[in-house]
Amino acid sequence: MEIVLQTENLSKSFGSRKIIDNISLSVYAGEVFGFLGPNGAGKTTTIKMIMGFLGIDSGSISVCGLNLKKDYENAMAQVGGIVENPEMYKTLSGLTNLKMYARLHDGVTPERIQEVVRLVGMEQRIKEKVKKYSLGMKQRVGLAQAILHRPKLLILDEPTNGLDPAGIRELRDILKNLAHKENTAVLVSSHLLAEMQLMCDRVGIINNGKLIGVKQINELLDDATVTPRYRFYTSEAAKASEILSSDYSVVLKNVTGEYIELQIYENKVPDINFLLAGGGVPITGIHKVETSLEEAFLNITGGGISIA
Amino acid sequence: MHKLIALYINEMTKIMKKVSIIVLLSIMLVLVLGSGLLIYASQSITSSVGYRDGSYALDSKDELQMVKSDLENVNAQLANENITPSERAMYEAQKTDYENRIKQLTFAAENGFNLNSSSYRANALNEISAYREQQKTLKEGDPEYTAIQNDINTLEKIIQNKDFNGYIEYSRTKMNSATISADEKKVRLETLDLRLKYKVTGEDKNTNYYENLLSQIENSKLSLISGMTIDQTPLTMESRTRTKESILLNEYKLQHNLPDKSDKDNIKDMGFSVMTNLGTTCILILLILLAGSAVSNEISTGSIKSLIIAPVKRWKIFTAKCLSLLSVGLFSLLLLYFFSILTSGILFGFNTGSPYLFVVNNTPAELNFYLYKFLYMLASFVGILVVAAFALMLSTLTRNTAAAVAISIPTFFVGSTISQLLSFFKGEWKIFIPFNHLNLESRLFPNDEL
Repeated sequence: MEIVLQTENLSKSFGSRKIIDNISLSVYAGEVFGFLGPNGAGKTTTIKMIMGFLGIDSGSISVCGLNLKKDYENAMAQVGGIVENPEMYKTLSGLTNLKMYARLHDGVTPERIQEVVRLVGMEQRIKEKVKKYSLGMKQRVGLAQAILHRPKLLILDEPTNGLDPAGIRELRDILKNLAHKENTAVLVSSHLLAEMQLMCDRVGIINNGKLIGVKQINELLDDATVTPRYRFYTSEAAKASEILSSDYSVVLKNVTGEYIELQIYENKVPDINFLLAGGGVPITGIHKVETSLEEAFLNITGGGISIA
Repeated sequence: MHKLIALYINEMTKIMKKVSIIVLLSIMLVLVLGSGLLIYASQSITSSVGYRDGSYALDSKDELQMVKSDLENVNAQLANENITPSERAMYEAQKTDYENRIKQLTFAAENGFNLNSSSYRANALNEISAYREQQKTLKEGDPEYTAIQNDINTLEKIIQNKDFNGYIEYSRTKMNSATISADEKKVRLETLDLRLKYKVTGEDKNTNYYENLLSQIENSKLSLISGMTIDQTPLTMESRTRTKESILLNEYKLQHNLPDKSDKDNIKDMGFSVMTNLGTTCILILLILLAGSAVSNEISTGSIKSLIIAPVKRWKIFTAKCLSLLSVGLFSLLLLYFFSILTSGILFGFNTGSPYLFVVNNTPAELNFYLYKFLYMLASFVGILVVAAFALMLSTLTRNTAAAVAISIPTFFVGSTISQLLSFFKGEWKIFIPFNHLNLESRLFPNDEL
């Protein structure tokens, strides 16, 4: 697979504080790469460095084999994206904004502009001034601007901000389409973990400026789900846990007033159910707990960190 | 290069949508039109009063009436028998004075000139009466008495024959026998030659102006000889050159009968200057507003991001911003120029104003009025550009529009005050303070008279 973005030993300090510490990662053509981390982990700083907003203290960034420092204009011609919020000239129309951006790239035709406007579903209001747009509409126009010049590398920082559920779904389809059909490398950062789970092919997890690991999304989920978990809902959870505590093949995960949570394989569910019923515990429901990326994430980053 | 052009087009697209540009250009046009109308109105007010350039001379006929009534009063007093002898003597003396004055005024009126003007005939007549006074102290038959009588006869003939050449000839012989230094005598004789050459008889409309030019020439020449200015400070090399140039230019004005720029008749020149000066101030404020927000505004609204993501180097972004400011400035300047021509043309007529005079290789030369005004505006635009660049720098460094604008606008206006302050200090370092050098126009066009 073709490497589109490569960072090597990337570091950045603000004053004495090290924000980015030795990050090396590669993003390939045709994949959606998720950049995951709690607030202040260094996601946006890394993205800003890749997009030329911030200088690099040490290390290197190359896009399509072009060094960002040495061949800035050619390297940046392959990059499109949105950092934080999509910002446009508010007194101008969305279309004028797109036209202005198109002027700075080679080979963007008026037809291409119409095409991306249609793609993001903004045909109706593209001629209105940007200051009349909602945040979601700005996101759409921002996305149109980011993919206007068919970049090899598309970088989106928190792209689902301000989008309604339908919009998020559309965005997901657009991004997957770009990556899998047009062979674009897409780098997405987000803290909406459920979103990442649906969107990304690979995920890089960053915490305190360090890249903790890069995994295929399936791998990551498998890591966190060695054994499935089941919840047995009952009004007498304490009694139930008492009954089960003698059975060493059962791992008790969680006991609350409403249910007990057990880490067991599927074939053991009828046995446990029988055991509890025999012990006089009324079971009102049994539920398999789906492991989310969130849990995997918490497992890897060490749990306690808040992930807004 | 094509990236720079694309950036430039983008910058112009953004700038055209700014409200400040429309507001300030409208203010500029309103100010130009308003000041033009104001000057036009003031012209019609002053001309209806009949007041002209401060050189109000009492007409001889009017004075004759006044003196005659004064004489009647004195006669009435003398007819009164109750006055003391000393009072009587006083009135007698007054009576003689009035009678003499009446004689002179009648003579002047008969010969058609104003005794109170600087006409050569008025001068001659005044000289005659001075001689008559002198004669009274002498006896008839005295050689001095005869000499004076000869002079009186010559002067009387000059007046009767309106003989201007004769008057100059007479003045020249008088000057030759005067007891002054040879240098001064030479200068005074040269002035008489100029007077003859350009027919400065003192009897036409612009007399005061021409007399003024002549005396300026004479003073300049004298100060070149003495090496001192009129207020007794030594001439520097620079002021020596300037003095020489002013002699050439003043003579050129006499030779070509050029109008007086400070004269109310020359209101067009003044009107045009007022219009363009007000207009360039508006352009200054406009450019400072635009330059002061050029970078900081993009940063505060975040729109700079779409510039940074684009595959263009930072210096190209900045250069495009500079170029867009420059073109907005030049556009406003051209708008101001042509609008001023139109306004002043409609109000004061399109015929060209008085040209700018300057000296090249010791020869006076003229610069067409409109061309001169255009170059003058371009020169003053350079100072504005320096301040705008300063605002752009502040905008980039502080990332704060308000700070950039608030510091830059006073910089331009207090520049002259700062240079005055600096003049108290000694040393060459002063030349590196830019505020001293913002008014390029006054250095390029030192002979500007408005």
